[in-house]
Amino acid sequence: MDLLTQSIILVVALFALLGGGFWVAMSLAAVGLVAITVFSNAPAGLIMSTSVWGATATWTLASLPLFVWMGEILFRTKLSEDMFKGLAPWLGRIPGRLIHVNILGCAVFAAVSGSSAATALTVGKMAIPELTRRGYDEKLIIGTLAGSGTLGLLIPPSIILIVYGVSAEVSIVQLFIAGILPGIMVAALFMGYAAIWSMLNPDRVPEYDFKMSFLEKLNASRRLIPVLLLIMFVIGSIYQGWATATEAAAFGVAGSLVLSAATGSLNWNSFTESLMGATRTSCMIVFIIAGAAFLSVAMGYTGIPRTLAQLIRDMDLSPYTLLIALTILFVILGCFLDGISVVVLTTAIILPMVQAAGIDLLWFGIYVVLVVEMSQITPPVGFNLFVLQGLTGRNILTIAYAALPFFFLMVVAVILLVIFPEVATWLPALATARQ
Amino acid sequence: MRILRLALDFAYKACGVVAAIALAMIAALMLAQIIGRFFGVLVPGVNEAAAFLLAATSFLALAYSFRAGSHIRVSLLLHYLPVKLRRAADLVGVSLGIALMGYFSWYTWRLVADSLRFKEVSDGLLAIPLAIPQGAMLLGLVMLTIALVEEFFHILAGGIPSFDDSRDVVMREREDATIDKT
Repeated sequence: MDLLTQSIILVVALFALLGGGFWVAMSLAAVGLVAITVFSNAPAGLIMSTSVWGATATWTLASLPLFVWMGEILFRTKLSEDMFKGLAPWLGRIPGRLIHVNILGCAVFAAVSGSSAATALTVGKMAIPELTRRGYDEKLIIGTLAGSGTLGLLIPPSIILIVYGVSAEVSIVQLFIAGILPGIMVAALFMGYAAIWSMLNPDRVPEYDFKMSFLEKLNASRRLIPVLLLIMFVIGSIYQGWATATEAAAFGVAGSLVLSAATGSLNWNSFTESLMGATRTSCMIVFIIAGAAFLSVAMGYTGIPRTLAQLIRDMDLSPYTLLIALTILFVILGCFLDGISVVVLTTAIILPMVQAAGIDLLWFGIYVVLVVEMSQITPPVGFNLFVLQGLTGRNILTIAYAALPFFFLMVVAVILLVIFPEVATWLPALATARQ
Repeated sequence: MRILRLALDFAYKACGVVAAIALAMIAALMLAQIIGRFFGVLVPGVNEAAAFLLAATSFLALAYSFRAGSHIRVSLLLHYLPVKLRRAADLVGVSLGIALMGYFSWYTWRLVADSLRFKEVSDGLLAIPLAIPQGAMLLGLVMLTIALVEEFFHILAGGIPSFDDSRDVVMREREDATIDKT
């Protein structure tokens, strides 16, 4: 059987399983099993158990459950309630005023949660009533939330970057450092758009109703500042090379426990709930990584990724053409798969192709995550749009229309990242050079 | 039958609790390493222990998180199916899951048996017998297989799948309805 037929059979099998509602992790493993038993003579079962064992019993992956746990603890500290009160007093002078609470709130919350749906939901629940009550433009409220909700995937400590790092064998520390500038860039694009929109439509930006002195402002954000410091310390200790990603994550867990004890939200109940929640989430993610690891090894036996890579090399394709094709593919995949599944599928099948085209794997990680973010708000089927639909009760077309400018801003961010790869690669190079 | 279901629920939960303890131990070990380094003490074998604890926490929690509906799947298309067809699709999915996880468990047993026979130990300083963490992986996979079998009979008997994610929507509608009445 030629490779084309094989590929078609496997792709059809994968989509049938996923579309039929079979669990993502098991779908990946099942396709791997089909690939290896039908198209090779290798002992499938033993390869399955050894490759999964090898992929899960690794020290590098240990930062994942810890960062998940850190998010779960901070999630239970009433952080979201403090966010509006803590951020709002500082934003009076920026054009657009309180609308920036959405963007900055999402950026902060994203750093601790790492899930775009949870970010949009939590920040939205608290900010939407406050902003609509004051008369801010509804379209801009929904749009900024949809867009900034996706920041969670990029701003470190990012769960999805750990997943990419482990599957593509790229240093997680380097990936975290690489994600800093692009994350700031996207947030800046969003804030810039909101500011310019507000300057063009001054009549639709309500008056500012916070009259506070500097000390009162500090007092209002007294519960937000420690969280910010903790996040900055965790990222900083990785950047400075003081700690490995896993150690920084353990420190983050300890710090969040101290914070939640200090704010009085730590008790036996919230502690066990956060721990059990983290256990479930990290189990789910590691199971997907395990399925993908086996799929990746199985694909190696079929020779399909190798042939694809050879094909790319022979066609002498420019990396730009490949990137455009991949962007479209990821946006389509992202419409019905979550970010982590898209990333593990990528690394299992098309990574050799990307390497053959001479693309840096560290840069590619940031690029994939950015495109996956974009796919979360692709009108009209992005995942974040559904979250906001549930939250606001508006129909999906209204939401998609409101999110459209932010979708285009994400496209701009992707283009900037492709034209200036240094946005992602400059900081990691700097950090390596210093150590 | 109900007692069996309760006993199994307890078993999944117990494995979940052990998994959670393993997760917390990773954090504790890593903190010990940071503190140890600060005082110039080297805590031996932290990295290999963390790797094995990660495997333990991930696999032991499988059945527990399965029952909690944490494992993700694309249920978009299923929502459009009529109830009977949807139940059939769920049964096919669960059966496929049983076959796959049963197969996987069997070959993980082969892995454990090999580690036992050759008395394999980890590379690092601790020299932990590999059969211990691999045994945790085997136990977790077997528990998931059992949970899937239980789920199969549960759906067959007309029960709502425990991983069903459409219930939230129904509940929301019901809440709205009560609000309308009052």
